[in-house]
Amino acid sequence: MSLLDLCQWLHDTPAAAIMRNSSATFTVINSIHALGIVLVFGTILMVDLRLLGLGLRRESVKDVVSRIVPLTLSGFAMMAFTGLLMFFPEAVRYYKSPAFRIKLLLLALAGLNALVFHLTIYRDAPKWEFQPVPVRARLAGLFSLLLWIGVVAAGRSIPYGHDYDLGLVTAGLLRRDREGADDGQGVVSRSSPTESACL
Amino acid sequence: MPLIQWLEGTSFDAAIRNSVPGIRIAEIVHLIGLALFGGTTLLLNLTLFGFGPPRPSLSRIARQLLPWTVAGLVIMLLSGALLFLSSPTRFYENPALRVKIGILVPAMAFQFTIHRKLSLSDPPAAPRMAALVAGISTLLWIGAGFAGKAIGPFAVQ
Repeated sequence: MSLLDLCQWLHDTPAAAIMRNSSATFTVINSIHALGIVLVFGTILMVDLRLLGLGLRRESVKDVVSRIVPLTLSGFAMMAFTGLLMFFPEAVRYYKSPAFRIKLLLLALAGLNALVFHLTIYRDAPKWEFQPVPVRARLAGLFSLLLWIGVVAAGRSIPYGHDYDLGLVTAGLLRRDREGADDGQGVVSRSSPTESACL
Repeated sequence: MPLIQWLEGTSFDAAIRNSVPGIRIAEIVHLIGLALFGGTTLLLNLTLFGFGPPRPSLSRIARQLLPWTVAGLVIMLLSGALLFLSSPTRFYENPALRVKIGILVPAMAFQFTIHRKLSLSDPPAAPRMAALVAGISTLLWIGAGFAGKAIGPFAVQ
């Protein structure tokens, strides 16, 4: 059974049909998903700013990280759960969406970056706590910042249709594609992309 | 309404409307501003609730976060204005956007008066008062966010 078959099976479940037909449910889940993203991205941004020496300079890195990690993890749980709820009713469309694939890839890289940071340089944090942040930790902060901006950018591109390639097509071509209304998110498709994006 | 119609007719408005990459970038920048604003406000509110850092450090943390909160808000307001200009009439008539603005204005007023004064106060305010202010702030911003998410589904056709 291929990944696409699995997506097709998910798409054909009765629960998926119920989800597809309830635009109110979709909007609520999408809002909670966005709240989860703000929790994750917002808290990680605070750590990144600290690592880059741009913010919270009077707090130690360990203080900032240890206080923020539980929040980041709870936000991630929220984001992953609501993300799955939105994924399975339209599993095949998401499977075919390049923007969705890029988002998952960037998410994995951001997770890997955080894992490497926590398992290596952060373990020695007590040693450099009162000194300038080491270059490797700064780099981890910079990578994290860029990867998360990428996650948001790719995520925002999902409603633009499964053949949308993240801005590599000309604007004229994009408009024509959108009129086909065959995009990743049923409800969002009926409104203009700008309106669907606003938070 | 004449103002909105005038906006719709300006060449600046047409330039934004016809620039799909421009709109896309404005959306993404809007979300980055939101993360910056949301992250700092959340951290501050949790401190007000009594989680995390010991309360005496509250005003110190608040002072360090303030420039980033303001930066996030300015980024959101500017990119939000650009997004609005991409389709002024439709956005003007959108009920969800009206609700969002209706929550946003008091939320911002609260943020930069009572909330700010309380976070910067030294010695820190009474725990119950701090928790109340943090609760109001959190509810207002979540309300604004949910109303914002409803702009798409409530789009005027």
